[in-house]
Amino acid sequence: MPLGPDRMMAIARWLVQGLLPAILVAGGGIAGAALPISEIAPGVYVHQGQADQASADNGNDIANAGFVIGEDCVAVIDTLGSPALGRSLAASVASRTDLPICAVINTHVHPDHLLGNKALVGGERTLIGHEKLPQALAARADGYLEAAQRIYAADADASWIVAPTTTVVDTRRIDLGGRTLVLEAWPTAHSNTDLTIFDSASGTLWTGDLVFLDRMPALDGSINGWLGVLDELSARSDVKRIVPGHGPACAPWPAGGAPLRRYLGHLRTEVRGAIDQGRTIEQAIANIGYDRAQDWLLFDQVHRRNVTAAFAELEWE
Amino acid sequence: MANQRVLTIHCLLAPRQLLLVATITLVGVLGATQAGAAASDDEQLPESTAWPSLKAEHFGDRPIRDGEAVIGLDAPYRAEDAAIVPIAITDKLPLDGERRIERLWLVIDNNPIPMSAEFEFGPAASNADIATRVRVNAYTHIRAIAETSEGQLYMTTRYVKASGGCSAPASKDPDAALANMGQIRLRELSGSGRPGRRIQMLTRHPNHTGLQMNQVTRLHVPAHYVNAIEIDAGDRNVLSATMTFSLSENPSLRFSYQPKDGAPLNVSVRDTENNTFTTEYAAAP
Repeated sequence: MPLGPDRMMAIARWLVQGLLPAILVAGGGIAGAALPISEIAPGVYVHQGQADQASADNGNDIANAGFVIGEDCVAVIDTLGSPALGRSLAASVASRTDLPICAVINTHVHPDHLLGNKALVGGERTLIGHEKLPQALAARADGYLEAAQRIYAADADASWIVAPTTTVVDTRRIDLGGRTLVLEAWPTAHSNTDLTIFDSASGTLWTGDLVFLDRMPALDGSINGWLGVLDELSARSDVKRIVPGHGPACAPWPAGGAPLRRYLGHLRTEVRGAIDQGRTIEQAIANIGYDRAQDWLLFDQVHRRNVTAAFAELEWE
Repeated sequence: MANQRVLTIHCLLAPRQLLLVATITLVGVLGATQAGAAASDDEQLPESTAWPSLKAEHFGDRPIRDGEAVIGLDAPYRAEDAAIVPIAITDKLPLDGERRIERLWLVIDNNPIPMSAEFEFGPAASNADIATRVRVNAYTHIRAIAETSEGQLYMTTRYVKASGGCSAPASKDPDAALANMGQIRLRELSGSGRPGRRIQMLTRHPNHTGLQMNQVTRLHVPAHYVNAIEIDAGDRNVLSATMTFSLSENPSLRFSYQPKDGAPLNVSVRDTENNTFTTEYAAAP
């Protein structure tokens, strides 16, 4: 039988993820079934999203998410791209522990990370995010739902939009029993709602989309802010490993941040040069950065957006 | 330690070889997908359901002719960032001809206020070239409509798709825009081979679209946006423009003008809260 495009895509994903092809079908369809999950450090579990954009095929299972288990309770970090995926993540928690979930944390406002909120909130659980997240989500909700309906979930509706009721201005600690998570809200970087979660027990930093690996990074905040935050995080010696928002389930630190810093640094240099030479945003979008295309998956779909955003920021320098 | 565990996952960067194989495979597959998408791009554009009533509202029963020979309209077919979609309108009338474009309208059919901007060109304008950046709320037709000195209307139309699940025409950093609101910056652009001086004008403004009360978050932000820009070269008008929040955060305009007698450019920007911001930009050396 010849290989059709769907099959080839599945093979590509398998190669990218290093996962068994059999579990790929779990992405969209089986609501409530536990997601494939890896224990990357004692009590730290990660589900690795597919290196892809949202599609009907993947049901928006494209981001990394997971949970940390303490002695008293569990913190869930990000809820994935739909309530169905959120339910599957809850099932993954239940498959690993009988302890209750006490906190659900959103690393930032993007839909592939928080449209599962609806399935994970309730009862005594605290839903936590950056202080700017509720307003950013309100401004984007219609666009997110329209895209969800069009691309992967005809039944997406306003009930999918669940904003944190507890927000973080600078830092906040969450006690899971014998294990404390430190949440840190950052100035505008990847987005204007970036929150990191540090588990000192294992030296694991959940970066959300402040770090991308393999899959093309998307700039939806400030290129200067993002490079600044990466400098600061790279200097931290207490971080042994990270869980990036996209890419492998975990990566060593600070080595795991190097490809992203190279890409953003190069982009900033080139865009500044174009502005200095009196070029337009269209000229910059057409010409800058294509020599780095081979470094990233999904380069063509995201790069021009990044040049656009960088130009609109750097022309004010 | 009571509960020693052996972990099966090591946090290593992917072996280069594996990544390379995966990349080649993916590029192949995506390349095929994209070729398919490109082919479908040539298909007949969907009809606009909004346009007949917009036309009646703004232009009555005036005839509107095909504008491809009069005005060019450059807009990306796929808007990578729905919040910043570059739009460029080009004046195609011969510079030494009798006719000139006196007025332009920019219409985005499926935005909350489709009539997005109106530009009126004064005697100091080199031509009716104008470029800006807009928000695109949904898949939509975008139209440039020109009125010539003889009173004829011409229209050029493009179709724009906002792409990707992350796409929403939202501000990246509304607080930063608000904190610096009213700053105006002008810069000279490198030559286009056309007469006159090419200038980009930028103004810091959040250009809030306004949010409906959200049942969950209880947030309400009133609309607050730049609605008029006036540009003069000394006592000669370059352009007068009115606009809505269809323009992106930190509105940008590119235009061309004919400098005369060393007169500076004077820019005046007004917003919906009746703030007025002004600046002066020195004449070309």
